[in-house]
Amino acid sequence: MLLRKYIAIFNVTFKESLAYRFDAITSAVFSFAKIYLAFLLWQAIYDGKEVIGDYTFPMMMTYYILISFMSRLARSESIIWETSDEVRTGSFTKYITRPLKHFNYCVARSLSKGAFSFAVDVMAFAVWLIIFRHYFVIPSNWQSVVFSILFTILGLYTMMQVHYMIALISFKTVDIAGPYYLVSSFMGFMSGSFIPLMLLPTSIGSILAYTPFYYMLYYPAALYLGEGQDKMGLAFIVVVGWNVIMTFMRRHMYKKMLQLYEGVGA
Amino acid sequence: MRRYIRLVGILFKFKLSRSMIYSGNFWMAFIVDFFLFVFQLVAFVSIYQFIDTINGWDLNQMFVFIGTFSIVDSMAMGTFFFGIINLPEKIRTGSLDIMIAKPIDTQFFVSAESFNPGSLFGIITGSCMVMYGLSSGGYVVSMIQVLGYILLLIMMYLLFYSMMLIVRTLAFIFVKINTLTQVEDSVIEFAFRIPGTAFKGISKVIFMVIIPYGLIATVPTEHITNMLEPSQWLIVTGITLFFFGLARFMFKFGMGRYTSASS
Repeated sequence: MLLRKYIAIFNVTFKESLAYRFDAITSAVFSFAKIYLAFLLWQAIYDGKEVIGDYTFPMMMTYYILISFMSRLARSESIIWETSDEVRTGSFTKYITRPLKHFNYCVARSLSKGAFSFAVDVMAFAVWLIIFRHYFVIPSNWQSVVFSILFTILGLYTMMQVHYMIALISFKTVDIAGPYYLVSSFMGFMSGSFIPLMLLPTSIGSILAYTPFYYMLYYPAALYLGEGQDKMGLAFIVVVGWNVIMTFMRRHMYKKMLQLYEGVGA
Repeated sequence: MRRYIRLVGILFKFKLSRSMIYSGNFWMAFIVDFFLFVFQLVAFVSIYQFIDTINGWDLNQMFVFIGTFSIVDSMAMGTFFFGIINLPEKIRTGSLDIMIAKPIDTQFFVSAESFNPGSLFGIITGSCMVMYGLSSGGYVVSMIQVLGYILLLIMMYLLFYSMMLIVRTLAFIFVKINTLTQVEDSVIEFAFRIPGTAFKGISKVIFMVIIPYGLIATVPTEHITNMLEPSQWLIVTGITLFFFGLARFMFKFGMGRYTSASS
């Protein structure tokens, strides 16, 4: 009963995504551009070198293909713009008057968008694999894949919590773009979307390992490539610990921010 | 011409005073750009721990490259970026109407209406990085070279402007161009930030001539580090003029097709 309304939200959002299927397909196909450019850059960097920071060239390309795929599954970013818009126009009131938890609503929508992206991107992923087949590493054991998937799910949930907290700032300030770009730039770098984090100096890498960002993209990809399995216990504690802290933080923030809401325009 | 210069002054003053009211926003653009600049620096310094050069470029040249990238990016973010980026939305919603009604050139107004003075501070950090790269690399730079570098920065700024505008004028025809702008984002993220020397063969033709984002930070860097051949000046000037002309043509062509969505 409790879950039914969120399943309905999931279904409606999925249908909504279907309306923009052409956009989603072309965007998935063109995401190849990013991988191709990473290929060109790293080809120039390797230039005769076998290994750079534990990674061979095929491992590096596998890393970029994986994080491109994972980034495209993370659809929680839209929570920020939708919430900001609803607060500004006053339509946020519906979450207060209806028997609906706003965070759960956002989770259901993000999951649905992620599921739609997965359905579309699996095809694009297959195309990338065909093109870069000589540069894609297949892991030697299935455990790497399973643990990588589990940490990807945890990482995406962490990302969702961060996006949700940024969204809540819109109760305080009309223009949410500034905080969003600031956090995104940090998140982009610290999650390893620009370069794999093992290339950073060890001291920086060790500090980042205690932040939630480390486990959003970099760690799941590293697990797939057979790295970091010995630190999985600690990794699990850190991710779950951060998620517990963030859960308390977002609940507290929601209560506080809601007091600022005037419902203008509703 | 004098009217337009005066208008730029007025728009700049207006945006500056508006930004000062929301001081958080004024600094935010600069802070975001600054951190992106730092992250890029950390990334390349980390990569250079394992290698000596990237296609002949050492770490000092990379410092000059990152500084140059930061200067052009800040010039763009501080002036036309936010105006141009909103063009498809204005076409889709019909809010371009009010701009057409003004007694000035519409392309100029669209480009100049969203100054973001806070971003211009990035020019200072970028310049410091360029000077650091040049001094630690032991480059002796003449006044003529500095003038050439500034001229190339202006040309690359115009090229960046033209590329951004060309993509967004397609909204006059297709209305929704989200996919194209996403592709552009990916290309900018890498092509703008990786040295042009990384491109070879067909990719060199694509990213240095057809969609020449690869030129933007590379050419001024090559000039100031004595790597740019005189003949390349002609090619770069030709490419810039071509794309600037194409952007103007496409904007005018698009305006001819614009039917206004709302009114």
